[in-house]
Amino acid sequence: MAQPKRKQRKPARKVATSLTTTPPDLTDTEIDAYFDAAAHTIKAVEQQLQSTLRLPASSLLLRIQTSR
Amino acid sequence: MTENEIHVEPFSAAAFIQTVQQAGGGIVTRQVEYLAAYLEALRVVTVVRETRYIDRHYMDEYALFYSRMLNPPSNTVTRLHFFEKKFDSTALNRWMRDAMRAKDLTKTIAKEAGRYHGFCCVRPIPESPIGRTVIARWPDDARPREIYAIGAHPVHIGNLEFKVVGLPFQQQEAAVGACATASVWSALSRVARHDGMRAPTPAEIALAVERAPNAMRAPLAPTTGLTIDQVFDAIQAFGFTPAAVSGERPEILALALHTYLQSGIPVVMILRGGGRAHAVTATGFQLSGTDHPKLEPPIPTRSMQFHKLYVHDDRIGPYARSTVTPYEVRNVDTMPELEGLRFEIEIDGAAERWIVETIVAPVYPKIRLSIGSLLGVATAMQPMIEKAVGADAFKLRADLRYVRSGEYLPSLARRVSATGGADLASRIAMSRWCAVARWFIGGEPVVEFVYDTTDILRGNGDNLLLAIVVLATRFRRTFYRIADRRRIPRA
Repeated sequence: MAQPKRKQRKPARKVATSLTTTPPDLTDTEIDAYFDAAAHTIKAVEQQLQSTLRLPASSLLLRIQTSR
Repeated sequence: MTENEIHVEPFSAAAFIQTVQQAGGGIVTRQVEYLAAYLEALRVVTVVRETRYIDRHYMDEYALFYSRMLNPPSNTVTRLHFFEKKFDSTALNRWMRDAMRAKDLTKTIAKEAGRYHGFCCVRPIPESPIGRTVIARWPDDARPREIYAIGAHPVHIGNLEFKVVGLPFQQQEAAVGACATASVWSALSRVARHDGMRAPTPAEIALAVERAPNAMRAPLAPTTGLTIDQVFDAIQAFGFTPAAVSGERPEILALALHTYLQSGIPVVMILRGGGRAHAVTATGFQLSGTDHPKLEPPIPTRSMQFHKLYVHDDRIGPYARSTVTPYEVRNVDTMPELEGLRFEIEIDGAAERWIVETIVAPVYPKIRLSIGSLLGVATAMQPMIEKAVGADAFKLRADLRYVRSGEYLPSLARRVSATGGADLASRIAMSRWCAVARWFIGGEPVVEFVYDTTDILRGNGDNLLLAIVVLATRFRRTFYRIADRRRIPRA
């Protein structure tokens, strides 16, 4: 009786590797510190962009006519 | 009886121009020539022509304006459909008969007619014949074109249904609208349909602006344009929030364009130059592959490579190629410093240059998390993410986007582990739209922070952080640790 064919093992998938061998672990204290500091940064960026992200009060008329 | 005739004809640019001339009333406009060349580039082979089609968008214009002319044109349009392969009327009739027998013709039609590339309504208005037109986007070349602000449109020829993915375009009809009307109409067509509403017609937009409560604003009348305020009014009138970015910060303009377009939201660009003003609708972009230092916001983003844009310009046609480049004027002795984005588009064989005055995106009204706040929270998270990825930190890039949650969760398929993804999907309550700050190392997506959009940011942003989704397995442990510490769902 013919032997059942052995399933060929798939070659291992190549996994992209980073320059670092192991990503560094963050401690609980570090994680909390990053989140605690976030409020200040968020406020600073929002304030910087306040005048850019607004509806300009403008009466500039958009009326380029189509080709004739 | 109102009769329609359906003809099947071979496509050529010359034949297309001639058909539009006959149906439209005689004048070959720039848009007609552009469309003929575009359809040639799409390799259209066959045209199906309907001689009498009722187009809701034209019909509204007709009711508002043309019907009251002493000599009104017809109230119907000629509609042209474009196909990839050669077939004749015998084949079309056979498909219609088979469809009547309830046969599934999907494969047969796909095989015999090829791709359906869209349609063009030809109005009986000699000076602006190109009515509502939905054409497939440019095909990709070696570098992909990222054209996202488009949607699926089901189309019927008799009893047969086809589908085209695109953004509606139409030539400005000076009597009923202006460039801004056409631009706002294109943008609203996409967002309204995407959020389950009926797309407004150009005439409805014109009327909405005319009825704006502020009596000081100029009323819309034939041959006048819209002011910027009226563009905002028009967007608000149809239930969307006009999210604006003014033109003085090129890096924020590029970031906003990149963010909205990636989110599938078309952007109305208001341009100024030489004492004139104009409006176009951006639908997509192509990144240059090189970071531009003038386009760097507080954190390095993929929008730093922003260069080529695809816009619907009613003077030219759909998906017209343009570029944006930062400019600065520094002459401190005589005038204040100026910065912004220069917009360049080819028209009649020559480059035409504008300055981006402002951009405005029609966003779903419950998106209260602005681009500024999203950028703020991404900037705040940057030091932690840099630490988490270790030596790869110098290659970190962020990109921001808004995504409908119903589309976001299915998009995680094959990007996260099946178990982790299913676990996240089963226990996370999401707003209709979520915001995503995605981090890359080079071109590889690493992690994304998913935010609720229905509130403003408060404190450190914890109030809106819905999930942390790890896309690169080698960083899973690090980011899971962060998520677990902050009690945030993760996958």
